[in-house]
Amino acid sequence: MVCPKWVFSTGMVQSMSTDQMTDELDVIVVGAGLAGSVAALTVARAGYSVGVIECGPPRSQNRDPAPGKMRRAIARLAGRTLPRPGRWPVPLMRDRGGGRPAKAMAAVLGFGPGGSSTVYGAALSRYRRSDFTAMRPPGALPREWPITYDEFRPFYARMEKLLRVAGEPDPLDVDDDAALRPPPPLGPRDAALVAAMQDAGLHPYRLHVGIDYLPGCSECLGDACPRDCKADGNNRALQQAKAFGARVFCDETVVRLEPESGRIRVVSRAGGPTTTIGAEHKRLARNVILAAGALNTPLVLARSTALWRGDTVPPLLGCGLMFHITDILGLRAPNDVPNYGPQKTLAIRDLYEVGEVQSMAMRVGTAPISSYLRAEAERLGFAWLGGGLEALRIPAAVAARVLGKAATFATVQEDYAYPANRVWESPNHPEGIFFRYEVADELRERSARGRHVIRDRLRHLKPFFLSPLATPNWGHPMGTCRMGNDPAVSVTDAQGRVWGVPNVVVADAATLPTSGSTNPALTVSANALRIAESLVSRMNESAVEPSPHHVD
Amino acid sequence: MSPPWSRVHIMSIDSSSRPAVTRDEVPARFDLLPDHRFQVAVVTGGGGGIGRAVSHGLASAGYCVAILGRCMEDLSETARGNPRIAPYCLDVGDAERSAAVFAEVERRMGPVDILVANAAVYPRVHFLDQSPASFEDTFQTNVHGVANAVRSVLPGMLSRNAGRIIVLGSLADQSPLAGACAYSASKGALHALVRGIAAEVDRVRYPNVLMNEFNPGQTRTAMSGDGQPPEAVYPLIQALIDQPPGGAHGRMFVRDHESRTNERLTRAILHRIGIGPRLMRLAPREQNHRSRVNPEDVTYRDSTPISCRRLH
Repeated sequence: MVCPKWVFSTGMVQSMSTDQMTDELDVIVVGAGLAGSVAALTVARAGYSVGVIECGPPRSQNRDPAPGKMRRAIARLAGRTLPRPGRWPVPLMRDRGGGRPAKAMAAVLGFGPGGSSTVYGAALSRYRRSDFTAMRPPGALPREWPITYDEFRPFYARMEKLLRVAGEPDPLDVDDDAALRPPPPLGPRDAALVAAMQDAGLHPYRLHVGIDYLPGCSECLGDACPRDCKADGNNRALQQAKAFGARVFCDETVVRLEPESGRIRVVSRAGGPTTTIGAEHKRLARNVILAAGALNTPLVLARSTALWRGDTVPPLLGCGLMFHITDILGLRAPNDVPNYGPQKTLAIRDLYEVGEVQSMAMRVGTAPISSYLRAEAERLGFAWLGGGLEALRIPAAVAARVLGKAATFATVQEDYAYPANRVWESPNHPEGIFFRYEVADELRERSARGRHVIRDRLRHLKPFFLSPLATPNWGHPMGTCRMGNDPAVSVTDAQGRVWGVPNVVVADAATLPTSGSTNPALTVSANALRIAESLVSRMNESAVEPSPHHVD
Repeated sequence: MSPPWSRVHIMSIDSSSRPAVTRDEVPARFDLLPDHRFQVAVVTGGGGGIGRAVSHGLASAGYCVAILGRCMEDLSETARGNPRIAPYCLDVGDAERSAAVFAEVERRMGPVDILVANAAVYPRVHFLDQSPASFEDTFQTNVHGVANAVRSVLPGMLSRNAGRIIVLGSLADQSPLAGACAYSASKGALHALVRGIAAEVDRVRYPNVLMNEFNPGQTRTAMSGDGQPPEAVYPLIQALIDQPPGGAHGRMFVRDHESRTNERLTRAILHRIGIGPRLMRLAPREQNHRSRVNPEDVTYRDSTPISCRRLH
């Protein structure tokens, strides 16, 4: 890391402010992902001063170059994966229990302003009412929200407007009153799939996506869009928050929070998440919104030992980690029709009990098939072959010839929060994120049943699966600081306030108490909006008058 | 702002008597591939030389052709006696005017399916004798003129997934002649412009939008005293228009064969020994069934036959 770029871009005022800043901010937001950006916008628009601390580099035209072909090939043969540019740069460490060493895996997370929303698949669907009904799965934490679906629904509508969601309402959901932008027309292959699904009594509709579909849109899924076409936290909220006076400090990692006479001191260090040495910056804020993502937010709280008097650390902090189960499947249109036009197109919620099924816009080429074969080979105990498993590319290339015309779909199947699935920080590796996640037996069973249902209901589309049974979707971490009405089974209250530390608010995916059966992005952002608004209204009540409008 | 596919503009070309109609609820033309038939072509620099010959060729093949150029007399001469050709006065280097004229063409004739970016200037002057204004003007017409035209038509082509863009290019940059410095430099810039724009067109999502560079070889025009007659150029342009969806894109053709400029040596050697994509060849359509589009067939969605009346 070189000198932070904002020193040059915004002049001396901000560069000096780090050490000498004596003025206190109304709110500091930790993390500039989707939730943090929405929260910052909400607070800034209300006239309060906001600083956003983001550990990733600022978005600029000069992004770090991707590793070259040779380096990638060598890394693959050595059985490693290099982090992709724009993504979280440190591998996650998955604890496998039984004294075995933790396994490093590439994080499917974003980095820098916008966070994971810059690299997500743009799906912005609502939870259904059924996702809010209380349930007590055996062995899991209670599956319930501290608020009702009807209280939450207006926030969905507002986020759909802010993120400019395109799509069609779900015909099976009476609660889906989304005002959506019209998506571009379907290509012939997807039109044929729709007809075939309708013949089978299903109700496909246009997937809700945060894509503007500028002329020539390539639907950048998995990568940051260079054209500002895909909705992310940065382009839809953070830039606007900046216009309202919010300050963004990039390349700075929050170390811990400290209480100071009714306020919170935020201690951070210049540099990315791997930085463990260097001078500490201190900023004072009346309130802190934590939005560092479901993997990092509990770590920041756990590091902030001064917040917890005695042993009052919430017992469930970092626990209840959820991912979805995502099956990748190929469906073949009954007739051989050409495929062009938009690819991220369809959703079906007829089989919602086994999860939403949605277009994935991935081509069935050699790479996904070989990675599937590789995963299966590793599962069967051939992981010791390491780079030798690259030989599977040959059968994969043959299979791609046969299956290449299929449309890929992904399922999003609900996960329940088990206290044993959790995230923590190892004292020996303070820069690493350690987590433990085991797929519960009942989830594996549900997933197998889901495959059975899909094979049965979509059999005329000759489905085939391209992922091992019950593969977690590593891009959807949730639930590590769950909201709830009972401090015994939650970390924050319904307004995101950490139990016992009311001026630290969690606003990101960590608060979600259920994972739902669809992509979490819209729910995460709507929840961030709700939590930030409740903070603003509390600030309005407590202050005689809001602090003078932040001028910058 | 509603996206381009949410409404389809249906216009009669005979706009004096019928106001332009805008209808919602009409399915976009996007879904017509592969039997979507191209109807409207724009030729820049249609006042003489290759532009005139290509306009005549396209008109006799049944397309409605808008010709753009700086000199109205020359354009009128091209359009004389040909009801399918409509002249519009425009200096293609003027971005603002260009956008306005293209919008007017679309309003009157319908969505542009084919663009033949042909306009170019060729000042014969030694570099040290050329005024900076003349040098700039050469780039303005030969490079910016193409960019302006493509900028106007490409979004619509992408939203319909239907379009052909043919940019008249040259290999003058490879061995510039004395007195052709500005021209050669501008034509060199064009290679990168065409390939660069083509690279931004997603091949999976828009396979029926094809953009290529075409070098006709030496042709007898105001720019050159020798070579083939300009009429010989049209069949090859038509062959580029006839490329099937997913066909040649981002390529450079010299007459009927593909040429790869600025190819890396390793790539060139691999191609030489037969590894990698093969060089393409254009097969011009036979002259006797040139008129593939039956003039009587050319209708818009509201089934009003088009009368290609003179437009000004």
